[in-house]
Amino acid sequence: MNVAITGVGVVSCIGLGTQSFWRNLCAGSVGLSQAPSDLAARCRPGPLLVGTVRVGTKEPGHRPAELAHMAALEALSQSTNMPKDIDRGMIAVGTGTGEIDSLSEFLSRPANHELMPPFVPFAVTTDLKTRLGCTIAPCTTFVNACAAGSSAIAHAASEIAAGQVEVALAGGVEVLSGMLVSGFQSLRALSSTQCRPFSRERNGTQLAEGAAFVVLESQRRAGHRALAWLTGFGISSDAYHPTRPDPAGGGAALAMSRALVTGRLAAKSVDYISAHGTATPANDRAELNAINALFGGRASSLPISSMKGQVGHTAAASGAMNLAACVLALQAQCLPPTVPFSDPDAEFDGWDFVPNRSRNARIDFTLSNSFGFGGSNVSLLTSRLPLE
Amino acid sequence: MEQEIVVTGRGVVGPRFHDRSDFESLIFRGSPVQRAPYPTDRDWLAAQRPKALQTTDSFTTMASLAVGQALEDAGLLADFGERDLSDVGLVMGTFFGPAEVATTYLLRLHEKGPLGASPAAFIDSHFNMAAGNVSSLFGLRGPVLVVSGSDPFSVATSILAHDDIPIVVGGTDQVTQQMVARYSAWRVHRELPEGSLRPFSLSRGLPDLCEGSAYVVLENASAAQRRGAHIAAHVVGQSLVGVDSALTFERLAQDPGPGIFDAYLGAMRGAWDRAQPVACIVASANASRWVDGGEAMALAALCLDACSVVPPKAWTGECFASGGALAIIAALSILDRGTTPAYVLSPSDNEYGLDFGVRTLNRDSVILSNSICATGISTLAIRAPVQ
Repeated sequence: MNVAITGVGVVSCIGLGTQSFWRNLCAGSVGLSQAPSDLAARCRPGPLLVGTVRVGTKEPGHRPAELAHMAALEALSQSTNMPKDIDRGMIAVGTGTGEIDSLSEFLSRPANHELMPPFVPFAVTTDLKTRLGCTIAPCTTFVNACAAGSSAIAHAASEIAAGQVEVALAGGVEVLSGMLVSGFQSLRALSSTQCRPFSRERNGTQLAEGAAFVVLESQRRAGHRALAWLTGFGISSDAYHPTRPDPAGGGAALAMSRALVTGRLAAKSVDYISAHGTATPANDRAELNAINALFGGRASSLPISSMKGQVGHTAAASGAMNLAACVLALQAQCLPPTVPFSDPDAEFDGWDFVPNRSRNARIDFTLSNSFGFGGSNVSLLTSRLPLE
Repeated sequence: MEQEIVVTGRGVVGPRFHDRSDFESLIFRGSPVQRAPYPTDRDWLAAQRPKALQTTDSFTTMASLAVGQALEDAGLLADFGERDLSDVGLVMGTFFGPAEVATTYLLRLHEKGPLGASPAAFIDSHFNMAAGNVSSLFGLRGPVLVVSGSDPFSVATSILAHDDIPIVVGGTDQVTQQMVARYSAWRVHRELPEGSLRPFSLSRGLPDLCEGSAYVVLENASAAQRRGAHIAAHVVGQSLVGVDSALTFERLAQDPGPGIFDAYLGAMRGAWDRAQPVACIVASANASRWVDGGEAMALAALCLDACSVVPPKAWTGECFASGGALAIIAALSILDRGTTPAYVLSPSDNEYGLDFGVRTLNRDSVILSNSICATGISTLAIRAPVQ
């Protein structure tokens, strides 16, 4: 499968726009900071580090679409497509629970019908579509927790590969809410110190908001405009537990393996993995076990990095953001680092986590992973050149 | 559609219909599920909650029951526990998601603050948790995706285009939460629902809000034939069309061109290629003037001869996201019986002059099943299996 990625847009706590995102990612910048007071007031007391994007509205119900719109506009601009081109294609959006605080407000005073907020997830998509000025583009909204954005991209790529459409705008968005953060707190999944993916002393993730979108086009339509190529995707379910990953990483390995199958690529050809790497003890171990199962003896020398220590866990946007990093890595021929990183678990000692510093490398093929609650796994395969 | 897709199983659960047989009786008997403005009797839950689902939330329970029926109907549970279902996917469509548990959780947060957050309720309030639970229950390890206010069948057929996943269970699940559902309905229709729902009628009333879950097993024809599955229907066309509207559907009635008409046309292309007549349209009409008017105008524009219109929401009520999948189950029931059910409207009450007559189908008759989602219109064209 050869689907051209012709535009990328990123809104993150380390940079607005792909250039500043990539520059800061490679420089090791960390965008996580003390939670703003209005969010902290809705969460459990104590230290709370989050990644916030300091732009956009705080109007209830509209922030996710606003962040998505910013990322989408950048992706469209890079691709030289106009919204009317997307109208002849499709839109796929992955989103999370961001609007849910507005429902909370509504439920506390249900007498006024007019104040009903657009809390349902698809409202983000219709809002984005309206902001873009698109009218008749078919839209699909994915709500697969932290794999939502990559699910949307995989679906859009599948539709282009099948010849259903020629162009698509796809990606993910997440905003922080009291429900999301306090929920993660109740699960004891958040670190109150530092998010340290793959490090032995990791003790949880840190949540962040952001958006990442790509413009996908058929090979015929894209011509020479491709930044990189989406050449495979794999989706699987753990069928294991609502929140805990299969410790052996069975579902994650299945997703990566399916991505290689659709891309008709041997595992030995993969040059880099942009990992889900949330820095919770169980998730990181399961992902590395999955990589070990799939790549065997090569796993320890395969560059793997996670951006969660810098960008935070952007939940529904995280898969799309990982894909954006892969596209930028393929273009720059540079591996983004895992920051901050110290010693890994003993059984992964000697693995290449691209510790703390980016480095140049020959990169032809990358995998980007995202795994979500409910056992939802998505892996996207990208390449520098189209497949023969 | 390049790849031939067939339907090999179905499952359906809701108030007064606990399985496909109940649902078929309901449609052909012609009496509505309820006359009250909102379902209060969860007979489906009391009647058949198995031990494995004793502690699950209602959203998960309803989906599990319907998916289980569909897998069993497709012969995929005959040797449950032995057959590997790792190549079976699931695509769930929903509108409000687990609204009951989410609103309960939010109200508790509001009342007690963040220390009142319950980990279990937080987990269950995720839109995809029911799908994850269903995949765990049945060991489905294919793609398990959840879409909100969108068409699950276009996603399911897209997955089937790839060789490694031959079977996808596609459908919708909607357990309503009274406060959310009533206010959402008000937002769409500007009035709170009361009375019974009479699509396409001058005295249409307003939508009865209801709930329900419906799933079909979609399978690559060659894979189904290889395993000797019973084929209930062939999918001969499918389309998804966007609409220039958000949560309301005002534009549909004004100009069906970019919406319903195109959706019908897209799905019918496959049938026309084979010169198969469209004998029945299972409509999405929900007694709102926008949806009813849009569908009626699209039907008029298509100039179909001898085509009967069946509005299943007259009997099931408005089940939000589940309406589309319930319409497909209705279409399958019509194929099984070889005849359409009667929807009785007096000529003076038949606002658009549509044909609701009972019609006997030919073996090559095609049925269109229409679903108007919040973000688009999807139409599926099916026909009886080739003998």
